[in-house]
Amino acid sequence: MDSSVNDSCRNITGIGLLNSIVGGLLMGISAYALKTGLASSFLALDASIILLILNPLILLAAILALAGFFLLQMAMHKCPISVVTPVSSGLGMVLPIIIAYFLLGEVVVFGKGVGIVLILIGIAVLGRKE
Amino acid sequence: MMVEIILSLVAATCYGIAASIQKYSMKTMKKFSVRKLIKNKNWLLSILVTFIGVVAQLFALKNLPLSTFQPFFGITLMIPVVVGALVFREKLKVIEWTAVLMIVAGILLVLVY
Repeated sequence: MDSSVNDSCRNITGIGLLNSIVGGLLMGISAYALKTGLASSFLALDASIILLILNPLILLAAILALAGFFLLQMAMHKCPISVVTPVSSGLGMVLPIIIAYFLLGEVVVFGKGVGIVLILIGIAVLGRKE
Repeated sequence: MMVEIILSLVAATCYGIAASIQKYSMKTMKKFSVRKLIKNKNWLLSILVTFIGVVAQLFALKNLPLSTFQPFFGITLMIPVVVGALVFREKLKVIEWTAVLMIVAGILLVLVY
């Protein structure tokens, strides 16, 4: 496989990591908006697509997901995929839990809390290099 | 139930493969451009694979609780990490691989609990 065109498999660049983080955060907010949109409405997964799109929260979720997706594409262009995917997935997963904890008072069990701490430390270690 | 589990497996695998194809399509691109991406056949293939994953996920979630589906997401995560290391030969420092493994372990913990 020719890797002479760009060196994104060798270096973790600051802009690539930043795009991964912002992209992951947007995906996380999108997941939260989608969850809230589906829960607050009478619509279910088997409802018609048109009715789903008319829900402002689901529309917001779609726009955020699209923006997050393209940021992740930019991140993949600048950073190794073995960094971009864990960072974006980790943040995308942690953010809705933190939002639910502070805004909805949902309980975070010990195991999940340890997982969140591991994810955040891992991202901090990757970012420290820059 | 068995069909839904297979569909979850298909969805998670599709997402992981799609991310790997996306990275592959970037390797020949000197400067990032959405226009170039849209014209890139490999990238379009990754979108098709993602779409197959979405359809499989929707059908899986119809009869499967989200808590059962979620652990399959670990496959989505592991495929790009393994492909990055073995196929793209991504060279990270030991501390960076440690950080990546910490994040992967953290995600698995979040998914399981």
